[in-house]
Amino acid sequence: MHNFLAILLTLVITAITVGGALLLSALIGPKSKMTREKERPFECGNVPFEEPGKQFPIHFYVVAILFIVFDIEVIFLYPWISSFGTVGRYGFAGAMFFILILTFGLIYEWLRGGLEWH
Amino acid sequence: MSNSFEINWNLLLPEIVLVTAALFLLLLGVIYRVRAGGTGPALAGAVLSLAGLVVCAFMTLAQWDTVSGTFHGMLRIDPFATYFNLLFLAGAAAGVLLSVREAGSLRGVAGEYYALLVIATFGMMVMVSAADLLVVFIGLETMSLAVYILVGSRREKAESNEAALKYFLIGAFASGFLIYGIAFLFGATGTTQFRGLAERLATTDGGPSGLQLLGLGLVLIGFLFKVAAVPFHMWVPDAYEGAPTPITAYMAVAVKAAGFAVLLRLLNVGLLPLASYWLPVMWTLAVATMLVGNLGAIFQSSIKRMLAYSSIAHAGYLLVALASINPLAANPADDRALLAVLYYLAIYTLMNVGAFGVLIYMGTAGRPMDTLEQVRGAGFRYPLLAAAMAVFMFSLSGIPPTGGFLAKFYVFSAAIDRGLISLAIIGVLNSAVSVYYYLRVVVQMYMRESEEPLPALSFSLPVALAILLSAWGVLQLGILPSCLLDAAGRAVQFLR
Amino acid sequence: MAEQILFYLFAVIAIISALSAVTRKNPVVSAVWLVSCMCSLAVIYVLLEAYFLAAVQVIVYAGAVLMLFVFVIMLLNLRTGIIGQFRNLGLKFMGLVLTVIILRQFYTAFKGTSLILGNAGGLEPGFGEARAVGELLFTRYVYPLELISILLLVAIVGALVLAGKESS
Repeated sequence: MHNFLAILLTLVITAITVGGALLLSALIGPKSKMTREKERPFECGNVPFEEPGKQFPIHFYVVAILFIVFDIEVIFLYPWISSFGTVGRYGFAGAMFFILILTFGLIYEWLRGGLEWH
Repeated sequence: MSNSFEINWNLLLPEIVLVTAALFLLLLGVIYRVRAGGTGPALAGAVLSLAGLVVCAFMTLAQWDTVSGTFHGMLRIDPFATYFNLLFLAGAAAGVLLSVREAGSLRGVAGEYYALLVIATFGMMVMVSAADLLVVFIGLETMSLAVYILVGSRREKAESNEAALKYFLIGAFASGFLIYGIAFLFGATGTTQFRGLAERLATTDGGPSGLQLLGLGLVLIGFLFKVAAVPFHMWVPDAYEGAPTPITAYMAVAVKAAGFAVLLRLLNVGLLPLASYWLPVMWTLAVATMLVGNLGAIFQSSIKRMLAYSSIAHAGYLLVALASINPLAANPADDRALLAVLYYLAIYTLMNVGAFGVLIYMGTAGRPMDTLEQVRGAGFRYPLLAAAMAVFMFSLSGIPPTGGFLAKFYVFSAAIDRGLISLAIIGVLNSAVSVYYYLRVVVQMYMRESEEPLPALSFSLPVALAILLSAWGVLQLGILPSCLLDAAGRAVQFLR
Repeated sequence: MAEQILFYLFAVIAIISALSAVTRKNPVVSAVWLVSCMCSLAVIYVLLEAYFLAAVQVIVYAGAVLMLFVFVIMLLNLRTGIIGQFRNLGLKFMGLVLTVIILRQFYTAFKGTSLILGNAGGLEPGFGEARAVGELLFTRYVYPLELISILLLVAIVGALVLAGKESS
């Protein structure tokens, strides 16, 4: 639990820094109205020519969902590696079957053309 | 931790066969796609999946006398599981047979279609042979996910997409309830195993705690969504109507049977000590489900939608049986309510496969059979099909000498045995209402003339086979029910 | 004591985030609130000494699944205001009734429970770490684990059947 103290401290310090900066600028900074010039991108940005929430092809979604599936596979394998010494052959067989099925999934996906962009 | 875990692989053989068949079907789909198009993949897929289901059925049948568990008490094979596994396999085989005719419209996903059908069946088998709520949940999700995809497998059809989305959203919501309830039960008792749950619940001092009841309620909601009980039935008409008809048949029979099977095991093993709490719930929901299902079905002009509401009504009759369970019965095989559920689900599978089969057979590629007007005059144009349809409609409405009559008879007499006279009366009245809308189909077929000439139908052996077997089963089991009843009695003997 | 404060702090943040996630009109804003909710839950997992679960919560839910949510929002081209059209007073009333019933049920379930949290005593050293999770997952729970591999396979197939490109 105490290992997490550092993370907590990071969180707190981040919150204080960001919140403090915002608060200070709101408190001491000069008040001015929003003008058209102020809404433009800062310094090096391009002037936007369309709304950001644009519809995009479904293929991104397919790639994303396939990513999640294999992400979860890795999540399940990490405890296996951590306990490799104790779970022994039994755990090895279990993990191998798990990997086998998902490797089959990968092969299927490959043959099916799920990994090709066009 | 010791490495000497004994696993009885034989218990898992049927499931392994199904998964292997599914993997081959997926490979078949992609390899055929590369090599050639046409109806080849669809036909090969149907043959391969049927072969897998039949081999699996033989292996399941060989387990008929097994009462054993393995995998650290996660898996339990007993005659109850075997009975339902055979029922699911029959439902899946019917789904494959009914699909063959429509395979042309699968547009290159034939391999995946049959593979998902097989995997959904695998999920059901996992569910019903589970002895742990976690395994039940994973089995349920495997089944549900595969069926959501099957419902939406007609990508080019808007209604198929809509049905899949609605079914998925509501199903995911129900899964949330289920896992939430499992979490509460685990929190209240410290175990997810059925047996352990029953022991801890029975030994709670001063009656069950609020946490336990909360868990019970949430778990029940999760399953009642799956079996389409009122008030968790809203998705049924749209999902049934939009899905490809063979999948509708599969959902109506196998998914519902799986829901009831696992509910039955859970209520009779894990949650048996809480029987005095869930019996009244079943009573109330049975009445509501019968009423909504039957009244809704009256106003439908689409036969597919009518059958969807009819499936809600039948869930209501099954809930009557669940409300009539005797939690104190010394031998579960003497509990007529349990026998009634098992008999009912088998007959229900046959009737629905038959009714949807006739709808599929009567439809042609450009003109799917759907509304009541369309079947006008079918009695003269297709006498055999219409006669089969009449048998299924008689059975669904519970007219002797069909299996449907005996099924309802067993359910209502079980209710009377337990002194639930009012429930039995409400059930019989509902059944009388249902005669109206089932026989309307028969009346349209035989007593009305069709306005336009009905087209000639091409012969389809698989669909004809499914219809013929269902009709034979409905009549045979309606007249000589003893073999099925014996099997059901043996199935529930080791339930508790 | 510090644990008590942290628990209540992050429990409140989780509830506020969850409520905001379902009440915001802009779906992207909802998704961001959901990230906040998931992260607060991760903190609560840490307080329960379920360290591996906390890490998974952040990696899978706050990371991957939320990214998928945003993808879907972009895919459907949902914009602010679209959700507002489906208002229905009767449904709202039903929702209110159900909420009251469920809250009452929760009240009966938890009344009498002390607000001061107990100690997670009696845990073995190393509890909740990847190693301990692995020892359970690959022995006692190996059957559910194998089933999950098949569930994930169905997810792959589903993505390709429903959203993959049509075969030529």
